[in-house]
Amino acid sequence: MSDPYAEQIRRLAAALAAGAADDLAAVLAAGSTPDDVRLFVEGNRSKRLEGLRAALAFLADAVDDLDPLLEAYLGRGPLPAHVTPRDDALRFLAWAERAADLSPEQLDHVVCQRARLRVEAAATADRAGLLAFQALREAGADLDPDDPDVAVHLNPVRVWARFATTALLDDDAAVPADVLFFAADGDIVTAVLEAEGQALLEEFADLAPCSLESWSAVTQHADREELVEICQDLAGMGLVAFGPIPAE
Amino acid sequence: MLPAIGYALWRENRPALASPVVTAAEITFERAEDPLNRPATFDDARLDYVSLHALRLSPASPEPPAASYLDALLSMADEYGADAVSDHLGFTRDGSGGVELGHFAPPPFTAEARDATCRNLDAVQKRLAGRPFFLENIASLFYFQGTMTEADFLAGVLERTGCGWLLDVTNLYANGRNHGYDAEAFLARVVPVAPRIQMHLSGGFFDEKAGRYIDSHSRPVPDAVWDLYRHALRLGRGKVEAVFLERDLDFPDEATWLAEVAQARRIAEEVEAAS
Repeated sequence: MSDPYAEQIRRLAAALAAGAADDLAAVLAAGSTPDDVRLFVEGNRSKRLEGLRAALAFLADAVDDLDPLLEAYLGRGPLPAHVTPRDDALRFLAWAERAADLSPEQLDHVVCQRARLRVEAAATADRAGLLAFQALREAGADLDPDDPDVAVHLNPVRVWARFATTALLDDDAAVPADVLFFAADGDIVTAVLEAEGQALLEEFADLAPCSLESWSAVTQHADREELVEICQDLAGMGLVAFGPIPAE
Repeated sequence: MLPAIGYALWRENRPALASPVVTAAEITFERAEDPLNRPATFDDARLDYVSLHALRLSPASPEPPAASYLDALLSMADEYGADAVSDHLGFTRDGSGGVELGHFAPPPFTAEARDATCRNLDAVQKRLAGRPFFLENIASLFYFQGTMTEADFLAGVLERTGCGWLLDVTNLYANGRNHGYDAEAFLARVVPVAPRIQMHLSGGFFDEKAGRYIDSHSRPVPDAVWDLYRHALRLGRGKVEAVFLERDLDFPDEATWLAEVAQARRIAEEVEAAS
């Protein structure tokens, strides 16, 4: 059975989202006019544009004519229900990648911007995990990763991205390059990992949190002494932290 | 009882929180906090009251808010030890499969809209498990045809759900000016049925071309809003838990932030002393 109120709001929302102010003239209260609706619609559009500009600030440094692209994207129509401003920015990036005439270097900025937004999304989605990891970093800074009673924990907020050019890398970096984006010290940090380091990290992601002894027992990528050194380096970057062995 | 008084939190006004003048803060769920950071601790402030303000519950939608959104809201309320949660009386979407407006539109003031709003607020309050929820009156540039006044609609929702009222004094002032209704009569209708009250104060401007007062949150609180605030405090004596200054644009310096908070407190003290 259809819900008359749901149907009414569906019609009103569709007209408001489409900016069809004149279509609403017959359902406006006395004293309200389509011009008032247009003011509302324009205000919403401006807020959405401001939100996109803010979310895409990094990309704006690389794409001089970002505003016309944003306008073109907004012209494609309203957002589906429940899409957040961050998702709006991610949708823009997906659209721009397909529809805009971007250079390979600009496309790497798109990749980077997307990774940054995905780190933020991951931090929002697993806020409890991020807070717990940050607490471990503070409390376990002086712990010895080689201590059998100490577990190595992996930062839960991390995203991989692949750069095709050196636009955002050192000039002599090998491309394509896989770059890890992760949350550390209230910011987004990146690390370029070669194939061996990437394999080591992916292996650890399946084990963590665990003692270095446990990791050392299964890995083919490094001996124990090297693992201690790697863990200390990664801890310095904010990618791993040391803490108690979790209860089974 | 004097309300706790402070402001809606932005990075720009965070340093002023340490002032003893400030005893309350409102955190906007969607934008106030960097998701990468530890929660802002309020160790340097002596806050009596923290409220978490949401923008996307869309209480007047035909469907209840998404469970994931409510869970995230509750989680952040716990993280900050929020005393209360609030959102706006309007709809920002129609429903799943529909569209997102981004900003609240007023519902038609009808029994059907009131029933849907009450259903949604019941669901919200159930999920909040006893943490008080406040419903804010919005600034509406237009209204849809309805069968009751906005004041009757809001009063009915508050009576049926037991929600608190987040009285946005500037929104009320703007609507009164833009739509020609008596803001004091609105207060007289709604304040008696509101079980508890928070307030917002902000400043906007009159757009000559549009012929509308725009609640832009970018200017000092105008005298007419201070007067309405004083009147609302008198009517709501004993119910007003917190008052928040709002500024979203053209941020003032710290002294100006604190001066407005101090003025809000001075008026509250005068009303209290006169009672």
